[in-house]
Amino acid sequence: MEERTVILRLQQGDRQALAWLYERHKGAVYRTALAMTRDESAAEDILQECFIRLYTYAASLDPDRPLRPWLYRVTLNLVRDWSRKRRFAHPVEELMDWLAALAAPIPSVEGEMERSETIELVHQVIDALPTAHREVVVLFYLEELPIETIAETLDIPVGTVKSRLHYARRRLRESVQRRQRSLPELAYEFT
Amino acid sequence: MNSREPMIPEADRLFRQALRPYREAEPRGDWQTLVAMLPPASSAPTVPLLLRLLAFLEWLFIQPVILPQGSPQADLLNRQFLSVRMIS
Repeated sequence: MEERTVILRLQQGDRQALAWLYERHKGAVYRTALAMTRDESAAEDILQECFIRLYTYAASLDPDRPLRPWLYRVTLNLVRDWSRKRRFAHPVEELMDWLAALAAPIPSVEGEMERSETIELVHQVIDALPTAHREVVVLFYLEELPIETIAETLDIPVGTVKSRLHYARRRLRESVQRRQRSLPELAYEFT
Repeated sequence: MNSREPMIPEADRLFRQALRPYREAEPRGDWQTLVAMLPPASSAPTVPLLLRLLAFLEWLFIQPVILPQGSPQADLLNRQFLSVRMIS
Protein backbone atom coordinates (compact mmCIF):
# COMPACT_ATOMS: atom_id res chain seq x y z
CA MET A 1 0.00 0.00 0.00
CA GLU A 2 1.21 3.49 -0.79
CA GLU A 3 2.11 5.62 2.23
CA ARG A 4 0.26 8.62 0.84
CA THR A 5 -3.01 6.66 0.84
CA VAL A 6 -2.40 5.51 4.40
CA ILE A 7 -1.75 9.07 5.61
CA LEU A 8 -5.00 10.21 3.97
CA ARG A 9 -6.82 7.42 5.81
CA LEU A 10 -5.10 8.42 9.05
CA GLN A 11 -6.35 11.95 8.53
CA GLN A 12 -9.88 10.50 8.54
CA GLY A 13 -9.15 9.01 11.98
CA ASP A 14 -8.53 5.45 10.76
CA ARG A 15 -6.61 3.62 13.51
CA GLN A 16 -5.69 0.76 11.19
CA ALA A 17 -3.78 3.30 9.12
CA LEU A 18 -1.88 4.26 12.25
CA ALA A 19 -1.16 0.56 12.91
CA TRP A 20 0.26 0.22 9.41
CA LEU A 21 2.50 3.27 9.87
CA TYR A 22 3.53 2.07 13.33
CA GLU A 23 4.69 -1.29 11.98
CA ARG A 24 6.53 0.39 9.17
CA HIS A 25 8.37 3.07 11.16
CA LYS A 26 8.56 1.86 14.76
CA GLY A 27 12.06 0.43 14.27
CA ALA A 28 13.55 3.70 13.03
CA VAL A 29 11.89 5.75 15.77
CA TYR A 30 12.83 3.32 18.53
CA ARG A 31 16.47 2.82 17.56
CA THR A 32 16.99 6.57 17.08
CA ALA A 33 15.52 7.25 20.52
CA LEU A 34 17.54 4.40 22.03
CA ALA A 35 20.82 5.55 20.47
CA MET A 36 20.19 9.09 21.70
CA THR A 37 19.08 8.22 25.24
CA ARG A 38 20.78 4.83 25.79
CA ASP A 39 17.77 4.07 27.94
CA GLU A 40 15.35 1.35 26.78
CA SER A 41 12.49 2.54 28.94
CA ALA A 42 12.84 6.12 27.73
CA ALA A 43 13.04 4.93 24.12
CA GLU A 44 9.80 2.93 24.55
CA ASP A 45 8.05 5.99 25.98
CA ILE A 46 9.34 8.20 23.18
CA LEU A 47 8.18 5.68 20.57
CA GLN A 48 4.66 5.69 21.97
CA GLU A 49 4.49 9.46 22.38
CA CYS A 50 5.76 9.92 18.84
CA PHE A 51 2.90 7.88 17.38
CA ILE A 52 0.34 9.47 19.67
CA ARG A 53 1.46 12.81 18.24
CA LEU A 54 1.25 11.39 14.74
CA TYR A 55 -2.36 10.43 15.41
CA THR A 56 -3.19 13.72 17.12
CA TYR A 57 -1.58 15.98 14.52
CA ALA A 58 -2.35 13.87 11.43
CA ALA A 59 -4.40 16.69 9.94
CA SER A 60 -1.31 18.89 9.68
CA LEU A 61 0.67 16.33 7.64
CA ASP A 62 1.29 16.75 3.94
CA PRO A 63 0.47 13.34 2.40
CA ASP A 64 2.73 14.09 -0.56
CA ARG A 65 5.84 14.33 1.60
CA PRO A 66 7.62 11.34 3.13
CA LEU A 67 6.65 10.72 6.73
CA ARG A 68 10.01 9.51 8.03
CA PRO A 69 11.67 12.98 8.38
CA TRP A 70 8.63 14.20 10.34
CA LEU A 71 8.96 11.21 12.66
CA TYR A 72 12.69 11.83 13.14
CA ARG A 73 11.98 15.46 14.03
CA VAL A 74 9.33 14.55 16.60
CA THR A 75 11.56 11.80 18.03
CA LEU A 76 14.51 14.14 18.47
CA ASN A 77 12.29 16.82 20.04
CA LEU A 78 10.99 14.23 22.48
CA VAL A 79 14.57 13.17 23.26
CA ARG A 80 15.40 16.79 24.03
CA ASP A 81 12.39 17.03 26.35
CA TRP A 82 13.46 13.81 28.05
CA SER A 83 17.02 15.12 28.51
CA ARG A 84 15.77 18.36 30.04
CA LYS A 85 13.45 16.56 32.47
CA ARG A 86 16.17 14.08 33.37
CA ARG A 87 18.65 16.86 34.06
CA PHE A 88 16.13 18.54 36.30
CA ALA A 89 15.01 15.35 38.04
CA HIS A 90 18.40 13.66 38.42
CA PRO A 91 21.06 16.38 38.72
CA VAL A 92 23.47 14.10 40.60
CA GLU A 93 23.14 11.30 38.06
CA GLU A 94 23.70 13.83 35.28
CA LEU A 95 26.80 15.18 37.02
CA MET A 96 28.20 11.66 37.45
CA ASP A 97 27.62 10.92 33.76
CA TRP A 98 29.40 14.13 32.86
CA LEU A 99 32.34 13.31 35.09
CA ALA A 100 32.48 9.80 33.65
CA ALA A 101 32.57 11.25 30.13
CA LEU A 102 35.42 13.57 31.14
CA ALA A 103 37.40 10.75 32.61
CA ALA A 104 36.68 8.39 29.76
CA PRO A 105 39.48 9.07 27.31
CA ILE A 106 42.15 7.79 29.68
CA PRO A 107 41.42 4.25 30.81
CA SER A 108 42.02 3.30 34.39
CA VAL A 109 43.07 -0.24 33.56
CA GLU A 110 46.53 -1.13 32.41
CA GLY A 111 47.57 -3.71 29.88
CA GLU A 112 45.66 -4.92 26.88
CA MET A 113 42.77 -2.84 25.59
CA GLU A 114 39.77 -4.95 24.77
CA ARG A 115 37.71 -4.36 21.66
CA SER A 116 34.71 -3.61 23.83
CA GLU A 117 36.65 -0.87 25.58
CA THR A 118 37.22 0.84 22.25
CA ILE A 119 33.51 0.69 21.53
CA GLU A 120 32.77 2.01 24.99
CA LEU A 121 35.17 4.86 24.33
CA VAL A 122 33.24 5.69 21.15
CA HIS A 123 29.99 5.67 23.14
CA GLN A 124 31.50 7.99 25.69
CA VAL A 125 32.58 10.36 22.93
CA ILE A 126 29.06 10.26 21.45
CA ASP A 127 27.47 10.83 24.88
CA ALA A 128 29.74 13.78 25.56
CA LEU A 129 28.83 15.50 22.27
CA PRO A 130 26.36 18.40 22.37
CA THR A 131 22.84 17.14 21.60
CA ALA A 132 22.72 18.82 18.19
CA HIS A 133 25.95 17.04 17.16
CA ARG A 134 24.79 13.71 18.58
CA GLU A 135 21.61 13.93 16.50
CA VAL A 136 23.67 14.28 13.33
CA VAL A 137 25.96 11.40 14.30
CA VAL A 138 23.02 9.08 14.99
CA LEU A 139 21.17 9.99 11.79
CA PHE A 140 24.33 9.62 9.70
CA TYR A 141 25.97 6.52 11.17
CA LEU A 142 22.99 4.61 12.52
CA GLU A 143 20.19 5.58 10.16
CA GLU A 144 22.64 6.08 7.29
CA LEU A 145 20.74 9.09 5.97
CA PRO A 146 22.40 11.18 3.27
CA ILE A 147 23.78 14.51 4.48
CA GLU A 148 21.18 16.42 2.45
CA THR A 149 18.33 14.46 4.08
CA ILE A 150 19.75 15.11 7.54
CA ALA A 151 19.94 18.82 6.75
CA GLU A 152 16.32 18.80 5.60
CA THR A 153 15.15 16.76 8.58
CA LEU A 154 16.86 18.99 11.13
CA ASP A 155 16.19 22.16 9.15
CA ILE A 156 19.85 23.18 9.12
CA PRO A 157 22.27 23.92 6.25
CA VAL A 158 24.21 21.06 4.65
CA GLY A 159 27.44 22.76 5.73
CA THR A 160 26.33 22.62 9.36
CA VAL A 161 25.72 18.86 9.09
CA LYS A 162 29.21 18.42 7.64
CA SER A 163 30.85 20.56 10.29
CA ARG A 164 29.06 18.68 13.10
CA LEU A 165 30.24 15.37 11.65
CA HIS A 166 33.76 16.74 11.36
CA TYR A 167 33.65 17.92 14.97
CA ALA A 168 32.47 14.48 16.15
CA ARG A 169 35.24 12.73 14.21
CA ARG A 170 37.80 15.12 15.60
CA ARG A 171 36.60 14.51 19.15
CA LEU A 172 36.85 10.77 18.60
CA ARG A 173 40.33 11.10 17.11
CA GLU A 174 41.50 13.18 20.07
CA SER A 175 40.09 10.67 22.53
CA VAL A 176 41.73 7.76 20.72
CA GLN A 177 45.03 9.60 20.57
CA ARG A 178 44.90 10.36 24.26
CA ARG A 179 44.25 6.72 24.93
CA GLN A 180 47.12 5.71 22.65
CA ARG A 181 49.48 7.98 24.53
CA SER A 182 48.52 6.19 27.71
CA LEU A 183 48.71 2.79 26.01
CA PRO A 184 51.39 3.22 23.28
CA GLU A 185 51.54 -0.48 22.51
CA LEU A 186 48.07 -0.21 21.01
CA ALA A 187 48.87 2.54 18.55
CA TYR A 188 48.92 0.07 15.67
CA GLU A 189 45.14 -0.11 15.74
CA PHE A 190 44.67 3.45 14.59
CA THR A 191 47.67 4.19 12.38
CA MET B 1 49.60 9.21 14.50
CA ASN B 2 51.42 11.01 11.70
CA SER B 3 48.55 12.26 9.63
CA ARG B 4 45.14 13.62 10.58
CA GLU B 5 43.30 12.22 7.58
CA PRO B 6 43.86 8.48 8.07
CA MET B 7 41.83 8.69 11.27
CA ILE B 8 38.72 9.91 9.44
CA PRO B 9 37.83 6.57 7.82
CA GLU B 10 38.78 4.94 11.10
CA ALA B 11 36.43 7.29 12.98
CA ASP B 12 33.68 6.46 10.48
CA ARG B 13 34.23 2.77 11.05
CA LEU B 14 34.26 3.12 14.83
CA PHE B 15 31.09 5.22 14.91
CA ARG B 16 29.29 2.68 12.71
CA GLN B 17 30.57 -0.22 14.76
CA ALA B 18 29.54 1.37 18.06
CA LEU B 19 26.02 2.15 16.81
CA ARG B 20 25.49 -1.18 15.02
CA PRO B 21 23.83 -2.96 18.01
CA TYR B 22 21.01 -0.41 17.94
CA ARG B 23 20.17 -1.46 14.40
CA GLU B 24 18.76 -4.76 15.64
CA ALA B 25 17.01 -3.21 18.65
CA GLU B 26 13.28 -3.90 18.75
CA PRO B 27 10.75 -2.19 21.02
CA ARG B 28 8.99 -4.42 23.56
CA GLY B 29 5.74 -2.48 23.51
CA ASP B 30 3.30 -3.57 20.82
CA TRP B 31 0.55 -1.92 18.86
CA GLN B 32 -2.10 -2.77 21.47
CA THR B 33 -0.18 -0.85 24.13
CA LEU B 34 -0.21 2.19 21.92
CA VAL B 35 -3.91 1.89 21.08
CA ALA B 36 -4.75 1.99 24.77
CA MET B 37 -2.99 5.34 25.05
CA LEU B 38 -4.56 7.01 22.04
CA PRO B 39 -6.82 9.97 22.68
CA PRO B 40 -10.51 9.64 21.72
CA ALA B 41 -11.06 9.96 17.99
CA SER B 42 -13.00 13.19 18.38
CA SER B 43 -10.35 15.04 20.35
CA ALA B 44 -8.70 17.52 18.04
CA PRO B 45 -5.67 19.51 19.13
CA THR B 46 -6.93 22.32 21.32
CA VAL B 47 -5.97 25.95 21.14
CA PRO B 48 -3.56 26.74 23.96
CA LEU B 49 -5.08 28.49 26.94
CA LEU B 50 -2.87 31.56 26.51
CA LEU B 51 -4.03 32.04 22.92
CA ARG B 52 -7.65 31.79 24.01
CA LEU B 53 -7.01 34.30 26.79
CA LEU B 54 -5.34 36.74 24.40
CA ALA B 55 -8.21 36.45 21.94
CA PHE B 56 -10.67 37.11 24.73
CA LEU B 57 -8.76 40.15 26.03
CA GLU B 58 -8.44 41.50 22.51
CA TRP B 59 -12.15 41.07 21.97
CA LEU B 60 -13.03 42.53 25.37
CA PHE B 61 -10.82 45.61 25.46
CA ILE B 62 -9.50 46.57 22.06
CA GLN B 63 -12.72 46.40 20.14
CA PRO B 64 -14.92 48.71 22.26
CA VAL B 65 -12.15 51.22 23.00
CA ILE B 66 -10.34 51.56 19.71
CA LEU B 67 -12.73 50.34 17.08
CA PRO B 68 -16.15 51.80 16.51
CA GLN B 69 -18.95 49.24 16.74
CA GLY B 70 -19.99 47.92 13.37
CA SER B 71 -16.72 48.88 11.66
CA PRO B 72 -15.05 46.28 9.38
CA GLN B 73 -12.18 45.97 11.87
CA ALA B 74 -14.58 45.24 14.73
CA ASP B 75 -16.32 42.61 12.60
CA LEU B 76 -13.00 41.01 11.84
CA LEU B 77 -12.08 40.85 15.52
CA ASN B 78 -15.45 39.32 16.32
CA ARG B 79 -14.98 36.66 13.67
CA GLN B 80 -11.44 35.87 14.89
CA PHE B 81 -12.60 35.50 18.47
CA LEU B 82 -15.53 33.30 17.50
CA SER B 83 -13.31 31.08 15.35
CA VAL B 84 -10.83 30.62 18.20
CA ARG B 85 -13.68 29.69 20.51
CA MET B 86 -15.10 27.23 18.01
CA ILE B 87 -11.92 25.29 17.44
CA SER B 88 -10.97 25.24 21.10
